[in-house]
Amino acid sequence: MVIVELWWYLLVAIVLFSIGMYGAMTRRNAVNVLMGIELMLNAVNLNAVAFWRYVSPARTLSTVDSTGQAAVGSYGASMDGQVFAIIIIALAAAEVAVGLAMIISIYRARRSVRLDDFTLMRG
Amino acid sequence: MLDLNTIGQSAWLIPAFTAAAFVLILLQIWTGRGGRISAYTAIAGIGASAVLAVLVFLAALREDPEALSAEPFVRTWPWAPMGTGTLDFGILIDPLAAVTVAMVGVVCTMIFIYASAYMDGEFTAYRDPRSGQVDHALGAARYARFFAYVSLFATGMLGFVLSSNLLQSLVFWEIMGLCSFLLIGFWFYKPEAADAAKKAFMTTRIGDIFLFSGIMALWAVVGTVDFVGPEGMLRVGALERMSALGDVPGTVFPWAGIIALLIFGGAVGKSAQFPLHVWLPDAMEGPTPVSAMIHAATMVSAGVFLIARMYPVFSAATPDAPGDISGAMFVVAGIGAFTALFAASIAVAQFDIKRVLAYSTISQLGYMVMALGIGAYVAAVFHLITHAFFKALLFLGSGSVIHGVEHGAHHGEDHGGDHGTGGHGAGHDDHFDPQDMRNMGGLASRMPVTFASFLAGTLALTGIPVFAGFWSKDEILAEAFHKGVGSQIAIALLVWLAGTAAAFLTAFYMSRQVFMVFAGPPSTKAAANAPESAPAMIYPLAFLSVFAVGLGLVGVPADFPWLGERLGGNPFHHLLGYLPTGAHFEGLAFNAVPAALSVGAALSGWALGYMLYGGHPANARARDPLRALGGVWRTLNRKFYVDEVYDAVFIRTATGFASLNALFDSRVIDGAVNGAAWTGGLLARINGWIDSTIVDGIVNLIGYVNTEGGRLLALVQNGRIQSYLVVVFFGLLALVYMVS
Repeated sequence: MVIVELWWYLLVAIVLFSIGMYGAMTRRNAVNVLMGIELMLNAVNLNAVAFWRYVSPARTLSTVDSTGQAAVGSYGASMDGQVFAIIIIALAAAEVAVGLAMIISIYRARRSVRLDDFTLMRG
Repeated sequence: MLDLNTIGQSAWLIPAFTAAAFVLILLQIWTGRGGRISAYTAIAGIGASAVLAVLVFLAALREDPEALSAEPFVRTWPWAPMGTGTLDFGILIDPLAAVTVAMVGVVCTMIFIYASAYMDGEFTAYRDPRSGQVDHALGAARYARFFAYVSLFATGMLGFVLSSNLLQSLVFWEIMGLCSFLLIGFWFYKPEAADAAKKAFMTTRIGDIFLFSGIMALWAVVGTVDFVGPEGMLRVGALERMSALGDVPGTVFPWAGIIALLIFGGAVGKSAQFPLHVWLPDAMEGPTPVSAMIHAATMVSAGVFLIARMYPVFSAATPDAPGDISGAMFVVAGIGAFTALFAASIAVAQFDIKRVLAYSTISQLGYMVMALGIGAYVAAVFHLITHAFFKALLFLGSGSVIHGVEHGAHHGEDHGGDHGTGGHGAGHDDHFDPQDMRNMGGLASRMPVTFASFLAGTLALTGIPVFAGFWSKDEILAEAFHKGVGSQIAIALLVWLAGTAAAFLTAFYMSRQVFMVFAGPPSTKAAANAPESAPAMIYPLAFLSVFAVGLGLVGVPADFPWLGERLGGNPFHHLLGYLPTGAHFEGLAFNAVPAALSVGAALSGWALGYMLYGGHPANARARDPLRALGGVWRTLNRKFYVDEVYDAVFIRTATGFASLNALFDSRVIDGAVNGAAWTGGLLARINGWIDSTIVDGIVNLIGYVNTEGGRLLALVQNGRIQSYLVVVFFGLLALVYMVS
């Protein structure tokens, strides 16, 4: 049986993040940029969950309660990674909602979603 | 109806009528309706005042004089509440006020009627400077303005006479001063008139300062300015308080005497006594009705009236014997006597018809003042009243003469044709003076009514028996003789001598005037063509003549042979013989010696006048016979050089001091100011250089750096969201690198 190590997850996450980063930096279409951002966020999610599974539970399992017995069934005592992942997913959903709304709105005004066309803030 | 307590309630209307006329005329002027109607308004106002004043006088006659003097009719209104009481504004009617107010009302009415015709020249006197046409609107407004002034003037005098306290008197006194200024300077475009107005105003102002100081001293000493209230200054209580204070430190006068002298200072200014007499002759620059009004009936009488009103204060040392001469009265008598003689001698050598009368007025006022000074209170008031009538008559007569000669001059021009313009211009020829007696002569036949009335006034003034002036002047001289010769009082003797000598001079200069003006052949074509004046001018003359002839009969001594008994035993003395203190002046027994001497002096004056001027009046070509006196003549003609002395002593000093100050101002102060300004300017330039070079340089440098830096940094701010992302990403990497 193949043991899936932590670094496997991290590698996937790096690849995901890099793809997302590349997309966000290079795509001209605002929707694509948004998608790149989603990729980056999910890479982070992956990291968060992986670290929780491999780093944080070990610390949790070795936890002994005050009577000296092993605290069986205390997995639920630390859910940080998963909570982070869920918050980030919610955040990403909100972000996409706002981002898409902005893109639609800007499309209505300008008939374009090309980021090159939107340089109003140029100094 | 004719009850003083009834009619007195409305006595405040006496000054109010003329005040209303004043306001109405102002409204007429402002609405462009001034003109003939203004004269009628003024006459209606003063006429109503005069009628009411005479009614008040008649009502006062029905009262018991002693009771009315001790408890005069008073009606007051609160004016200014103060810490220690209320200052009232009110009217006071006692015999003195009643007699004077009736005199002022009647004389002023005559003067107003006369003026309505006399001032006719104003209508055509002004020309539009551009078109040269006669400016009728301006002329009418000026005519109206004259009547506004005289109405206010009459208000001042009537209010002054009826005042119930000294401060109120001062208010009306100053109204008169103001109107005097305005009226003397009525023709202000003539430099002499403007100067005369200023001179009159400033000279009387000197007196007014004394008067005001007197009022303040009175307030400080007795705490009241009220005349006859229960605590009034003329009551025995207040007078005793004044006497109880003893002498003023450093002087020989008691407090009452100092107060009396300060108030006398005001009277000296207003009644033109030496040394403040200089304004009155110059005041002749005003229109002639003004001369009659100011210099006969009203303003100059105000000073004498004030002394009479304040008489108990003058004689405070001996309240029970009011005829005794106190220290203050000694001064009053001395100044009066000196003025009487001094002014009479100047009048001898004048050529201006009104100037002679002006000096005559000063002289006669001197009579009244010296009479008050020797305690001849009743005689002084009597002379005040009779003099007002006959001097008003003389002034109006002289005005009629001047008017006639002016018209004669124009008449001559029109027919002689030496002036192509002809007609009535703003002025006559500059070299022809219609007031110069040398340009007159022979007017008796040309102007019969004027002549007759002028003669009546002259006879009254010179003290020819039966005429008014004889009785009043004789009473003064009799009293002086009685005290000087009978009681051996030196100042009274001096007064008598001065009075008798002045009577001689009076007769002489008045006969000189009558002969020069009316007798002989006309000296000029103007005099030869002079017409009689308009009815509105000669009726007042005739009316006043009646008083000049007959008014003296009310004051004939009770024991005068035959006449005294039949004329009611001197009703005037009976009416005026009491003071608010309750003191009584005993009537003097008739003494034939001073009467005979004064009549003798008057007749010899007339005789001398006839000898020198009767046959051949001095005209423009002939020398005045008095020139033979040489230096004396010049001194008299130049009025004892008083004006010159004042000019040298006061005016030069003042102007010298002023130019010194001006020099100091222009050199030192201006120099300092300019130096400060120059230094300031230099510092400002240095500051300016520093500011524009260094400070501005720094500021500009900062600005330049910021602008250029901003320009560079703006390149980063390209507005492309993805380039920002790149920066953020690598920035984050750098941050992570640095942290780890």
